[in-house]
Amino acid sequence: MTVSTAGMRSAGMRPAGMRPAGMRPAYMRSACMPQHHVHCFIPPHMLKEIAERGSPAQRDRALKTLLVSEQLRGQREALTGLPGLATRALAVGKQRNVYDAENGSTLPGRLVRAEDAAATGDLAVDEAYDGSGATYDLYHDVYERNSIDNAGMRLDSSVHYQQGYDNAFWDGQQMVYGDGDEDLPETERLFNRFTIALDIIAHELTHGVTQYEAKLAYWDQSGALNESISDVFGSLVRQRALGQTAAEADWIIGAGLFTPRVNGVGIRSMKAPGTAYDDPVLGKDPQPAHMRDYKQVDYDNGGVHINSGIPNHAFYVVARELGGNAWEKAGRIWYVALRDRLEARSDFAAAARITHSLAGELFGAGSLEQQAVRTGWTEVGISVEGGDTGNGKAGCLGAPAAALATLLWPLGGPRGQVG
Amino acid sequence: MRIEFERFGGFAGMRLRATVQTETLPAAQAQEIEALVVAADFFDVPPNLSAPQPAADRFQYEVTVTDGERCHTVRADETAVPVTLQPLLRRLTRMATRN
Ligand SMILES: [Zn+2]
Repeated sequence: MTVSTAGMRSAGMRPAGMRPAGMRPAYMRSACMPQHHVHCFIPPHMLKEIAERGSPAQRDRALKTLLVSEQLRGQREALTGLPGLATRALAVGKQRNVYDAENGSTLPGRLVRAEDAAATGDLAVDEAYDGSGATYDLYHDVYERNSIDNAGMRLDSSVHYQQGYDNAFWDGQQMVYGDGDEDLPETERLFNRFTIALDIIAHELTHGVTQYEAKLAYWDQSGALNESISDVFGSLVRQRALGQTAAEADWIIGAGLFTPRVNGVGIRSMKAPGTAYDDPVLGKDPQPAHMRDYKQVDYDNGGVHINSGIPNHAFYVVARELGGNAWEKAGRIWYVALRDRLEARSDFAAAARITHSLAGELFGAGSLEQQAVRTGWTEVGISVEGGDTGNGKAGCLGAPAAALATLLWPLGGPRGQVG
Repeated sequence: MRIEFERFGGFAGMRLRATVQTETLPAAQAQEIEALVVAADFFDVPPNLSAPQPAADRFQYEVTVTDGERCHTVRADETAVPVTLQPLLRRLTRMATRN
């Protein structure tokens, strides 16, 4: 059994690979659900047993054993889907490793800076180290989350990936950064190194958080939501590090990434999607800020990096309405939605409904916070009362699946632990 | 030989394109690119190279090569690109313009 219980839930209770025919968009060339590969060396049901039936001491010992073996073997996924254990007995705090891929494609590369080691003088190495630290701190200090998996997972980053690699990504286990156009003559460069913007680092790390929580499928609206969640927490990490209120922040993603040759302030603007760049070589920022401009495209997994402008802008409006530090209220609503409510196929309407209802639960029905959430989604053309429930919601489970869910999660859900 | 190249996705989500007509290039450059097509065994590369699942912020490629009677299109997720095809994609990326 290699399918995690959480993964089964997000796939509408079907084991991975058994999705019904006709669900896959035409441009989706993969044959499987976009779940990360969980190569569990301890089956989830065993972890489940320890979590549910063990004494507190047994749970703690099990967790420590798992953490140690995980660190030795690098099998971090062992702890996937174990929210019950996550907040318990965590002797391990912030742990960062930065590797140098030395312009190759082999990951992670050579370890160049471990936790508590001094700065190396290599800008990309030190930015990856500091940036993943600032991201850990937001999740930990503000949302009481212990790392990507909420179980102290080590934050691994590789820099100097390939040559002329104008990109950064999360590969399911670690963050990876290219150096931009470093291989071109300086006068032709458009991109700087991708560690240059703290929000890019936090964006990539947040893909890891999403992988362990909502598991948003990386195409169409759920994919654009996945992208937006990464931009939201990316921007919040940067705002918190700079000590900026919502009104003071620029809400730009990737500020500093372009060289001076580019006519643009960054890759995306949450405040004004579609205005981040307009350049003779790069073209114009294609992001919409409203549902009427939603782009149905057959590339980029259905435009996940394009249509994320819509939920990005909704979040910006909520933060603008509330004022103050965006990570405190707006960020908390979005974080709890990501952790407890959003699911693999949640769409924009589901996100609107979920965040609106969560704002009521967290801050009171009819509170200013709940009103702000309504305003945010309304400004981008989405109703918080939307009738569309999206796909794969719990309410759509068939009776046998629901019965299985009860057996697997008698305490009310695989994620549980709100708070 | 005519090559149409597109790259999609990535963190920046920018589209990159190139159309290359090797007959119009300087001879050395044309030879270099045609050699990369041969080295990639391009006409025998499966038309769909998909990763098991879409990966966050990775690229997708679409390449069509027309050489006389032969025409072949390959769509590939970045993580599924064979080592032999990588040099051609890297070369075409450097010839491409955005937007
Ligand atoms: Zn992303």
